[in-house]
Amino acid sequence: MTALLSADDVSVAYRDGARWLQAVDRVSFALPPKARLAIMGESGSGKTTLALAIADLLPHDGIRRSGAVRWPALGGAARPGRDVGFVFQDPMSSLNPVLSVGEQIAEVAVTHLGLSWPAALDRAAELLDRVGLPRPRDRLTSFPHELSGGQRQRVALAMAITAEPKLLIADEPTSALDTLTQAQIVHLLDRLATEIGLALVLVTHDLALAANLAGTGMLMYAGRVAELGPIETMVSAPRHPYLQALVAASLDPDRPPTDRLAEIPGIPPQPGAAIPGCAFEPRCPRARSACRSRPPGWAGTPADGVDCIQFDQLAAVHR
Amino acid sequence: MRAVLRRFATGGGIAGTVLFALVVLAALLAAVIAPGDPMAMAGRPLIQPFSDWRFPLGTDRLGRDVLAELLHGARATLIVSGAAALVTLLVGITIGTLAGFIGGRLDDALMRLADAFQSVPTFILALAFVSIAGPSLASVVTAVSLGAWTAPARVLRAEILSLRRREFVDAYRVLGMPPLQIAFREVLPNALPPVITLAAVIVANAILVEAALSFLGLGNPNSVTWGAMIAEGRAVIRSAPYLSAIPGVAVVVTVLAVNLIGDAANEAIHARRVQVP
Amino acid sequence: MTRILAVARRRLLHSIPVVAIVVLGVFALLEAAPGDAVDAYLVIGGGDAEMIQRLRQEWGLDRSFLARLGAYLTALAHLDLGWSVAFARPVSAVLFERLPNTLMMMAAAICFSFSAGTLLGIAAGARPGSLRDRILSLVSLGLYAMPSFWLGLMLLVGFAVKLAWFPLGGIESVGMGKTGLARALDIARHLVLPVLSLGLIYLALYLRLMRTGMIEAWRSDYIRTARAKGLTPRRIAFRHAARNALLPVVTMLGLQAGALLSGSVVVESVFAIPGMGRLAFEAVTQRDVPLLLGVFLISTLMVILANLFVDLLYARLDPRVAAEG
Repeated sequence: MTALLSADDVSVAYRDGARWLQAVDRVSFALPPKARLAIMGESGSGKTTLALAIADLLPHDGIRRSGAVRWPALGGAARPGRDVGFVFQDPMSSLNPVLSVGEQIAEVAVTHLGLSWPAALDRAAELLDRVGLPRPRDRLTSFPHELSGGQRQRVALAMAITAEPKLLIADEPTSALDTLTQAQIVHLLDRLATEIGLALVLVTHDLALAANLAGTGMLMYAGRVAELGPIETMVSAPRHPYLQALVAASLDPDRPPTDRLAEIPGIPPQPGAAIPGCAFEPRCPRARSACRSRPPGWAGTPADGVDCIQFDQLAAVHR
Repeated sequence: MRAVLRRFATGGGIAGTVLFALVVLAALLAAVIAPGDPMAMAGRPLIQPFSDWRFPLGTDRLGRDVLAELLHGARATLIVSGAAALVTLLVGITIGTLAGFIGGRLDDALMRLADAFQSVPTFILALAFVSIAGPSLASVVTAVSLGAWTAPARVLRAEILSLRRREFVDAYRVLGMPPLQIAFREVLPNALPPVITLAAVIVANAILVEAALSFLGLGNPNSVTWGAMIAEGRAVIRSAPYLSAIPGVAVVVTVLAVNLIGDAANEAIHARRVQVP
Repeated sequence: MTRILAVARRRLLHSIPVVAIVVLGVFALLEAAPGDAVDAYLVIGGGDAEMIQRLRQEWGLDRSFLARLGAYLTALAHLDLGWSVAFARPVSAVLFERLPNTLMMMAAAICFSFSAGTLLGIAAGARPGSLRDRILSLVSLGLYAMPSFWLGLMLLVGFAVKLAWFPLGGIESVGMGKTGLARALDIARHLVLPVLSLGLIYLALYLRLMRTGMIEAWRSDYIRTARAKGLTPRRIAFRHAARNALLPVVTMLGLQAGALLSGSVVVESVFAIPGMGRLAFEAVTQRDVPLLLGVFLISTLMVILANLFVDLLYARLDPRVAAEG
């Protein structure tokens, strides 16, 4: 099956004065149409940067990027808004405060579907109905500050799916919301993706949410992919020591169900720090001297594997 | 503090400081370079600039040395604008502190007063005040301050309002310190930094208002002012435009210097760190 | 719409004490000024001691402070601003004759500085630190440091004296008998230099504000959203970024109404335009206190009206301005 999206050795670095901070380091993966991928990691792991790189939304200045993002199923580059929809974390700041909800949705329809403004506003009302906003007609003239957090995120979703894209990228779509609203938005995301036949890239720090929504999981650490594979096996039989610790922590009933990925002792390396070996080594309970001296190698297939020296060696023995 | 100084030392900050230092130097050395009365006739009238080495910037209609007038004008400008800024800040700080700390009816009354003063075209107010009080150093300084005190008063009031709820104020209250003493001794110093950055704006504005008053013949009659020089040059603007141009350039340079310093200071204090998305 | 009306009501109520304070202040200045209306009247008419006595009684000048204040307020309510000695006419008559010229000049200056300033600000803020941005910022810094009367004089020397492109002063050519469009064009030609000297300085201010606003806007999340929606760069820049960056500029528009009137005093003097600003100056040189304070009062009321209008405009542009509070 032709992949919708394939990323090959994607790297992104931000300029900080004279230095370059490597945010994403040689990430590769492929996403079939209608598939769902969850990119997991704690803050600073590079997961948001990777999502922005896929959607071609990185800032133009102060950025160095390499590698390729291809769209084989589209037969060309993906057009933001048309082929890829994007939902951001904070629905308050990501909506324009001075434009009406109706205009912000309708402008997508005008731009990509070639509709007239009245027709686009009709479409906007339909979409608001579809994302479950009561009295959608009246809502067209509302402004973002007049809506609740959950309603704003529904509006953001409506905006992202206006042109019926092939892929929806959602960057922490629920973390700015309260628990009850989170569940509603997750349900809505799931329903819409199925109805429209969207592929989904979900960026999250929440293992449970990832397992709930996605088929494939990608765990990132310090800009690199730590583990990639079917999400069920990742949760039931984690291979990377980092993922093992995360799964153990998420099963611990004493811990509150927030930011589970950050609850491993120790902190991730400073961005820009030169690491000759494995970036997770200082926090790794199973670290060996070899982990400090040379980088781990990818063990497994491009669609299912671990970035850890232990599995690398195991794989070498099997070969 | 050192970090603030380092951020201040940008191109604009340095240029502004150098330019302002030159103006101050000119004012200080006025009596040395150009001794005697700058308003007295020194030579032939209407000598072009750069044509006679004794009068590098030429002479005006009455044979007065333009360079001497310019240097003494720097002094007058700095004295008036400095005094006006000082009075403005003092009045603004006092009113802002009283309004913010005592609050209630006094606050309401003072803020309505500030509203009224902000609705008045400040220059017409200054014009009316000077014409009724008579032109003098004191009346010009008062006239400039009348239109400017509201900005520092409002900024300070807002600062105080956010500070007065802090614990340390309660601590002093419990210790039995009189409210006004708490306001001016303990709260005020903490509220000052944002007002300080306003100082540059106030000085620049004072220079421009003073120049306009002098231009209309309502400046301090006892000293040479740049505004009066520009007005004086108007009579011969066709034949000797340099007479109006030169003092104008002096005003622009001085105001520019003050604005550059103000901008750089503002940036240095409010500098935000570069964010990595 | 109800929200905007509510804002209008609130602002109107708010300006009542402001107007009261200003009127009281003007009365205090009138009282503080040496001589009274009778002295002023006699300068022109002349008269004996008996007549002075009679006039003082008639005008209520021998009464108590409060009674005089009452008389002043009653006169104000009838749009009577007193007697102008210099023009030997009622102050209000002189004022309303001069008002249109000033309003015309100010309106033109605001339109010019606001439109050119915001557009150049968008251009400068698009790429901060670029050559275009640096040149625009430098020019605006220089303009912002200029006294408007001096800029006016220099424009006068350059474009009216040396190049003779524009007239030297006045509001229109006298005795040409022009009417209709010809007259309008003639007035426009007379207004170019004064409007430039008044407007260029505010252009610099709006440019700087707009630039800062645009830089801020480009960094914001909603611009990233607009890019993610695949909107055209034009629509992102104008409809999304500039629309938000405009808000502080509009606020400044209200704050600058008074400054613009102040600037008209010197600019009208430089270009010999018979407007209200020049009237203030004439009142000063002729020691005509009632006339000066009349100008003062009317211009303050104009500023309050302008602020009211700007508040409504702001409320229209920013839906977050609440109807109450």
